[in-house]
Amino acid sequence: MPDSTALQQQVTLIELVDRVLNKGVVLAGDITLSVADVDLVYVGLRVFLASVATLERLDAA
Amino acid sequence: MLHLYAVTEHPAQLPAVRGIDDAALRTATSDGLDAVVSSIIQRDTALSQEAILAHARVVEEVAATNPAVLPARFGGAYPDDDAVAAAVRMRARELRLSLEEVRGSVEIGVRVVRTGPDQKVAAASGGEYMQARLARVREAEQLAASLAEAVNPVARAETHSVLATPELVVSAAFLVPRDAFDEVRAAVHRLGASQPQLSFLCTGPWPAYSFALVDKDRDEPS
Repeated sequence: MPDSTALQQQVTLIELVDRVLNKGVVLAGDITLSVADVDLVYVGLRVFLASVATLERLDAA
Repeated sequence: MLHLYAVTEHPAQLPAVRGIDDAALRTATSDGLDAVVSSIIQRDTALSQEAILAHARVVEEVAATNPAVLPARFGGAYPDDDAVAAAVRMRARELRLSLEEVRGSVEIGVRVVRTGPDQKVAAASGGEYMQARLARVREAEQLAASLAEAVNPVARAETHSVLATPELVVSAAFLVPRDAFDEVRAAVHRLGASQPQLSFLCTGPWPAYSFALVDKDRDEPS
């Protein structure tokens, strides 16, 4: 059973990756990441987020 | 190649941390602005968790040691210092305006996640499905507005998206003074107490990633 700290850590990691990859300054068309690369990270994150919601539900039960 | 971490004012205070692949940090100066960079071996920085975390750590440390910092999106790579300086020079005016916006501020993230049982959308037709979907988006936008109202006394700027996934009802970011984290968290939790079917999670304080978009047409309305 995850405690709220573990949940907070998971959410924080998702938020961190989201910021680093999708936010922040882009200068002159310099980003070299391919969409496929970013998508790969996100496949992992979606699974992660789904499990966060599920874990929370278990936690509340 | 050089990897870009952040843009700040000259002279930047470089923190003691090292960058991706343990490379030393340095600055490329142009128009009174400093780009914080380090050498990377290949053009396509491997998108590993280590590299992402190293980037985030450098940005966090630079933001902690300088009053106004724009985090760079991961993946900015340049052949040499001149190329970095040229890229900064092209956007110098927007970068300066953006630096003023984020000066002395941090970003706080708020995620509102549906944790209660989900009401099934029993739709007999495509039209009904669309109606139900629209109602959900409206509801999520109202929630985002309530959230913004709750944080409004301290927020300098706000941005949000709704229903990125069915569970993630609202994902918002607020630009607030450095010392306002506890105040924001308290305001969010007061709102959360009235919504038992939803979970409100605050993260941060972050460097101002969500408010460092210098493009005129920002990703999201602010």
